[in-house]
This record gives sequence, C-alpha cells and structure tokens, in this order.
Amino acid sequence: MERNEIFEKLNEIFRDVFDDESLTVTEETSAADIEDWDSLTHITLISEVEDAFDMKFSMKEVVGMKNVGEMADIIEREA
Amino acid sequence: MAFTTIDFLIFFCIVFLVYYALAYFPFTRGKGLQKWWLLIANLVFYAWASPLNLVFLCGSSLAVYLASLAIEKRERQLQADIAQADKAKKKELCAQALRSKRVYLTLAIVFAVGLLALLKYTNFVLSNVNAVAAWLGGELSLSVSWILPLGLSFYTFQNVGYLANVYWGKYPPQRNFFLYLLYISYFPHVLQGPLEEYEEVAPQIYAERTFDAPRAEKGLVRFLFGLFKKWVIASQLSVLLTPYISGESEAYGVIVVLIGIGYAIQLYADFSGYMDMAIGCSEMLGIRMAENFDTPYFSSSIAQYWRRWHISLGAWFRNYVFYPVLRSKGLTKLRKSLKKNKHLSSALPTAISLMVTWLLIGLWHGADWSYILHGAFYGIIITASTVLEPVYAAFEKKCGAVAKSKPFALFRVLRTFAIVCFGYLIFAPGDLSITAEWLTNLFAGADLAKEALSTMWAEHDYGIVCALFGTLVLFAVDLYRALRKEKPALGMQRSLPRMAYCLLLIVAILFFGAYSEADASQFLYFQF
Repeated sequence: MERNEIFEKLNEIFRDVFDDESLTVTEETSAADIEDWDSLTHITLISEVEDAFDMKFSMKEVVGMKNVGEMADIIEREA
Repeated sequence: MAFTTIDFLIFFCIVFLVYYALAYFPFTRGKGLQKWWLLIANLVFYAWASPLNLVFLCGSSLAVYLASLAIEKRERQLQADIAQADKAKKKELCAQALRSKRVYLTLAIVFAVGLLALLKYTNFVLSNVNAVAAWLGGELSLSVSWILPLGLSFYTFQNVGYLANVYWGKYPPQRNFFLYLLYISYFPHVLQGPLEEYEEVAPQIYAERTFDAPRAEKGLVRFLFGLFKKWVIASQLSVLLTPYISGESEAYGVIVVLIGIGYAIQLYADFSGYMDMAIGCSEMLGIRMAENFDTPYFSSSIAQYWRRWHISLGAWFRNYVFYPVLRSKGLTKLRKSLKKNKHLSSALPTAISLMVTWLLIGLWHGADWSYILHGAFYGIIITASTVLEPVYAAFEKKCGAVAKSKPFALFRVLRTFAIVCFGYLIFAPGDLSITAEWLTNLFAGADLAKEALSTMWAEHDYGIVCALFGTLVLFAVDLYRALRKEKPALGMQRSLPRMAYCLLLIVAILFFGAYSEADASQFLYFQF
C-alpha cells in the first residue's frame, strides 16, 4: 500500500475517532498536537487502525509509537 | 533516610562533592567512576534505616535481571534458528520461543510481585479470614508481624516495567547486574518514585558529567521549594488533621468538609514537596528526572486530574495493566462480537479494563478495603464518563456557548476538586468505620463543630496562619503555571532573582515551618 493511501485512510479514522472533520494528520502529528488524544482515545485509535488495515500492533508499538509517521511505518510493514 | 533530616544533608553534601571531584581529579577523570560512587551512595541511602531492606531490593532486582537475560538469550536463539527455516517452521519456532519467554517473564513477575503481595497484603488477607470466622461464630486472631521494606511498591513496579519492555523488545537488557541495580536503587527515586522508564533515566545515571553551576542552582531552588511545601504546609496541616484522621477526635459538620480540603492540600504539599526535593537533588547531580505533578487541582475533569496527579503511576498502570488487559484475547473477542454497536464495542471492553486498573490502583495504595473503595470510586467516575461520552457530546453541541464559557470552566475545576476532596474522606483514614462516622456526622453537630474550631484556633493559631500562608503561595505558583500552560519549571532563569528567591524560601521555612510539633521526616507516601 502506498504511503499517501495509508495517510488518506488514517485521516478518515482520526476524523471519526476525534469527531473533527477538519482534522488532517501528518508524519509529525503526535498526542501533543491533538487535545483529546489521551490513553483512552489512543487505544480506540489503535483498534480502529487495526480493523481498517487488518493488522495488529505489538505492545511495544502500542506504548512506543511517537507520532503518526511511526504508525504509518508499522502499517506499511505489516499490512 | 528522609530528605528532611540532618543525616540526609550530610549524606548529600558528601555524595555531591565526591561525585564532582571524581570528574576533575586527574587520576579519576574519564574512568567512569562517578556511576560506581552513585551506586555506593544509593546502597548506603537505602540501607540507612535497616540493612535488611537491601536483601529485598537486591533479591527482587536480581530475579528480574536474570529473567531479562534469559528472554534476550531465547530471542537470539530464535533469530539464529529462523534464519535457515521455511515459513511453516518459522511460525512454529516463533510460537515456541514466545512460550519460553512468557515463562521467564511470568516467573520473575510472580517472584517480584509475590514478594510485594506477601509482605504488604498478608495481614489484610488474614484480617478478612478472621472477620469471616467471627461472622461464622468462630474466633480467630491470625496476623503476622513482617517488615515492609521502604519503597518496595515503587521498585517492584520499576522492575516489572523494565522486564515488560525487554520482553516486548523495546530495548535490550542491561548486561551488568550492578549497573541495573544502580538504576533501580537510584536514591532520589527509590523510596517514593517517580516510576521512571529505564531508557530515559539509566543512560543519564551511567554518563560521566562535569559540574554545571546554573543547573545545580536550579536544583537547589527546586529542593528548597519542596522543603517549603513539606515544612510550612504539609507538616503544619498534619498537626491539625492527624487527631481526626487517626480517629482520636470526632469530626462534625464543617470540620468534615475542612478535613477533605485540608488533606487534599496536605497530601499534595507532602508528595509534590518530596518530588521537588528528589528532582532538585537529582538536578544538582546533573540527572533529569520525570515530573510527577502538573498543577493537578486545576484539572477540569477527573480523567484530566489523574493525568496530572502522580503522573508516573498513571503511566505505569496505563502501559502495564490497562493496555495489556484491554488488548487481551478475551476483551478483543468481546469487542469484535459487539461490532454492530460501534459505541458499545469500544466502551464495554474499555470499561472492564478501566475497572480492573482502578481496583488495582486502589489496592496498590494500601491493604485495606478503604483503598480498594477509593480506587473503585475513581474507576466508576472515569468509566461512567467513558460510557456516557455521547451524552456529554450532545450536551456540548446543544449548549456550546455555555460549555465553552469561562464560568463553566471554573465550575468544572471546582467540581473536580470537590470530588477529589470527597475521595480523600475515604482514603485519608485508611479505615472505613472512620469514613462512615464522618459522613454520618456531616450534617450534624453544628455546635460541636463551632466549638472544635474555636479550640483549634486557640491551640494552633500560629500553625493555621502559617499553613494558610504556605497554601496561598503554592496556589499562586500553580495558578501561574496553569494559566501560562507551562510545564513545572525547575527554577527561575536568572541567577540574581533565583538567589533572592532561595533566601526568601529559607527565611519562610525557618519562620513558618513545623519541624518540632509534627514528625516532619515522615512522608505520607512512604506507607504506600
């Protein structure tokens, strides 16, 4: 899957989870940039991404991901 | 050894001087001796009250260290085996390796957490056995008198977190046991945390460093502010509140409300004061520690409060309990089976995982039903806010202007603080019969409350004024930080105002501190 396709799909998921149609994520977007991105929304996000890309993050990835770019790297590798 | 004792002052001066001398003397410079000096300092600090404590610290750390090496060895063996295997064989080898690694992980965790459970909770279990026996008409008085080593809950959690990360492959294990012990036993964090990630703090502890005057100055300011919080606020309030919290004096009406508010301030000043002293000492040695508080009493919701209070404990439970439970096979299956109802499929597994996490947080704080109830109290509030999230969203949509207004924001902060104070009525005495008595007396005995207030003022007028003064200073500092949206700062940026501030703090501590009336060397979180 191409990187821009991954980001297209990720943007849809982020907009849905954070209930914000204007949201656009980039490689550098992190929890510090989105006010509602706490541990609960993080885990919802992870589950939604896993379902959408039919893959599973490891625990190391769940707790260690620093930004959306890292998330896309893992999706690129696993999906 | 508590930070507020003369013993510690002498200890720290020696540690500080030798630590930097090692970096400057020609025959010791560049030899990496600072870290070994720190290890000696850690062990002396930890063994000060009782050398027997070291047995538990070393035993727990050794079990985790050996398991981490075994996990790494098994992983290396797997990588060598799969290099020549086909796809089907690879899958089988990976499953075998996972099973072995899980055994090492489980054995070490059972040992470390088992030690904590045995020493901390045996009496709680026995007291419940005694109660059940009495209920059945029998008579039992089982109990043990085992020592609870200081900081056991904290270093056990650091050990478990480290091992989980090695198991997940986040970082390779430390191969030298003494270096691992140096990280676990680092004296600023060994007794009360913060629970720090190995990868964040260990490289700093192992590094060789020269003296950095501005950084040491900032550390000193931070230490003094911690001392101010402890002696001027927490110790003064302790004198006023201890008779009620210990059950020695009865509380009525407004006194119950004041206990809730007073304990909220006392615990915050005590615990965050300790953290300031720990972070300050560490900063003087050039080692940056994690922050544990971020103006928690200015939170607008309970969930936000817990992200700003005892931050490292929250992060630990999030990473090593909440996420693993939520991602366990059972809850993943539940989530998938509810897929048709989007909100429920996410909310129900989250609610279950939240309740498990909060009950464990309650139990971690102490071996009594009151602590478990305190955990459940927050678990229910946070779970309810997760489940009822669509209702809040609908309210915000309907009353957008009100929900975003400043008076409503202030109302939310006050509401959160009121809930926290109520929670402390369950938490503070560690005895549900006292909590029940307070709640029963809440709307009674107005005359008795008035009389108790007059007596308290007559006996402790100076202490009350000092505590109020200290609380006002703390409130102003926190308000400034909350409004400026700044992270807790280590100290002022310019040297001259910093020195003036230092002097003011010393004067305030000397004049307004309570070090003879209360046992100011004891910290509330030592008991947890």
